[in-house]
Amino acid sequence: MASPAASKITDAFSRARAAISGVRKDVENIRLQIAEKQLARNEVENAPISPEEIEARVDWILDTAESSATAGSWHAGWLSQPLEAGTKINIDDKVEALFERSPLGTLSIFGFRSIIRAALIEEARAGMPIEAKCYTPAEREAAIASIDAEVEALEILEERIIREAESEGVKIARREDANPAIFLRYDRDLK
Amino acid sequence: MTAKQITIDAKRLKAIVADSEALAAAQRDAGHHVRDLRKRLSELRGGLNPGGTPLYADGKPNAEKRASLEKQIAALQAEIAAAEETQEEVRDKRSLAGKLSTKAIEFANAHNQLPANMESEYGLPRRFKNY
Repeated sequence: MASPAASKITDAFSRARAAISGVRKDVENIRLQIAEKQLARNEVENAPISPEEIEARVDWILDTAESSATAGSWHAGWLSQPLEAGTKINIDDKVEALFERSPLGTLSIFGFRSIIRAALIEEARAGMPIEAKCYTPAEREAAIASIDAEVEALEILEERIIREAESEGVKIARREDANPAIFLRYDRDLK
Repeated sequence: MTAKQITIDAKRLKAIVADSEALAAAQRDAGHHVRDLRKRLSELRGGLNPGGTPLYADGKPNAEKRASLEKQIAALQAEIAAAEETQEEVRDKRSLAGKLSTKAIEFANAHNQLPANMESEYGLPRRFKNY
């Protein structure tokens, strides 16, 4: 039968083990939250752009395609220029040259721009996940900054616990992806 | 603390690097220990002559010696298994410590805060310094 002193020591060690286990669970919990925030950040980073940005992008694509098609050698002015008698107009060669440079640009120049524009915008919307949240650049930046601030707060808490445990002789390994901007801070900068 | 105001605790940086180096040494020692044990095992097995039974000087089988060798072999095999487990644990710790040490040094270099006495070993070449 254990003596009262021995029982006290056993109880003390049991409490210490339970406390250490509790601290490790706290760190695990924080790490789960960090992982969730990082997933959320990835979702925001990869979320679709806003409808206005899509339209601007489509306009840029068509403008660029038209410029490529007509680059340097096409101008419609030749259609109204007087021609010497017997001159043959080889329209096919001229249009073929446009198509070689940019089929999309050529179709856009020849009156199909509004149709193509509407089709590309519809294609973009159809390609989005259902119920996808779109972000403007400012919204995306703000959302990411907000998540980054939350992650930093969690990482600071994690580091404080690790250092506190270390000072009590309990070693808790840092994560492989731990942030050096956090774990290299002075203690006073972990508030 | 903003990105521009980061001040690194040089003492902590050195401790992280030292920890990684200590584990690297421990990994080497663990590897040598396993290698030495395996060499010893090989020698013991060699004692069980080609026929599988140790012999007396007169050529007669020595069953007692065989039993003794087999006992030693079994004990050594258990010791090797334990040593290999330790080796693997140290390797995992060393791997993690090495990654954190590398990140810490890169971070310190990126912010021009590598302690002077670490420059020669871990500093960037002058042309890469961000003055």
